[in-house]
Amino acid sequence: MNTDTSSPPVEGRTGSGAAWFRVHPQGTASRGSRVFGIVLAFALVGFGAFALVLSPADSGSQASENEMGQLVRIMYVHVPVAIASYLAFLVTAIGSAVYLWKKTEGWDLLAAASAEVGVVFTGLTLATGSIWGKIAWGTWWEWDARLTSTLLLFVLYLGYLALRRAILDPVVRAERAAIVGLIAFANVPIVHYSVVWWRSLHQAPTISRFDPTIDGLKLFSLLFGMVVVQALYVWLMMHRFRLQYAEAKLESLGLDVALAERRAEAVADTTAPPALVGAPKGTH
Amino acid sequence: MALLLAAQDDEWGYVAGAYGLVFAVLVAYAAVTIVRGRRVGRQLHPEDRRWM
Repeated sequence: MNTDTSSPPVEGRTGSGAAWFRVHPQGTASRGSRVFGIVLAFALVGFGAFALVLSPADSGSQASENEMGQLVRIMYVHVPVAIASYLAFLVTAIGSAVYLWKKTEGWDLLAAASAEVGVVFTGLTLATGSIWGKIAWGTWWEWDARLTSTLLLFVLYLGYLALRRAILDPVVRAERAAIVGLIAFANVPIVHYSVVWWRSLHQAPTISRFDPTIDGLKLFSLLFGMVVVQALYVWLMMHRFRLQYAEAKLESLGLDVALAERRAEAVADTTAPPALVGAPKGTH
Repeated sequence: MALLLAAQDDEWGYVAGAYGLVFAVLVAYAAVTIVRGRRVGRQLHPEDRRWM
């Protein structure tokens, strides 16, 4: 089925710089998401400048420093992507809970979209953590409580996405995925508090208390990174949720067409003259 | 001093790797999402693209 509705690109505005605001007519962008994306791009450049150039290395010369050298810069991206994955899975859990309560399709679509974005951020958390571990601990991987629980979180939500692909009935899929989405979220607090509850190679939380262990430009870079990466999550979600909505719409259109064809066949079978039903070809 | 500088260079490689990986993965994911959105959106009626 293809109901192609091609039309020329929508001009957001005219004159110089118009191309920046031009929105593809069949895509997932809107004027708002385009403007947000442009602001976000500038914010990301600013974040890169603070994280990689303006903030100093961790020399260990002050009481608030930990002798991490240039490695401290990995923390400015590792911690924000980890927080973004928590946020993504929280949205999945909320969407799942509200879907089970109200049975509204939109909440299921929100949960599904956020789970996929969350899996991407969790993968990046594991990868950046592994790079950190290679130089800080001398190994790419350690079966430590934080690392293991984060890997489990990644696998759980991959399972959530696999489940969604395995079930064809949209209602059954949404219900089962919502239950898995809620259960899987129980692992998020376990991941976060694993460094407190168990002995871990991973350092304790850096800023989730009133006396953060870093300060000055290093603290600013980390906080700026958190804001920018959470904004990036929101921007990705704007596109991913619209894609999820469009795919659901297309799926429902396909089901409608299939049902209409089946009904037409059934009507043709019942209205056909009995003598012709089952008659050999070429006898009438 | 030379050892310290060598260690710092080594650390920069890991830092660049981490930032490069994050940037590449997020750009690739955003691009794939946008392209998929255009492909699916092409098959929908304009009134079904409610965000436009």
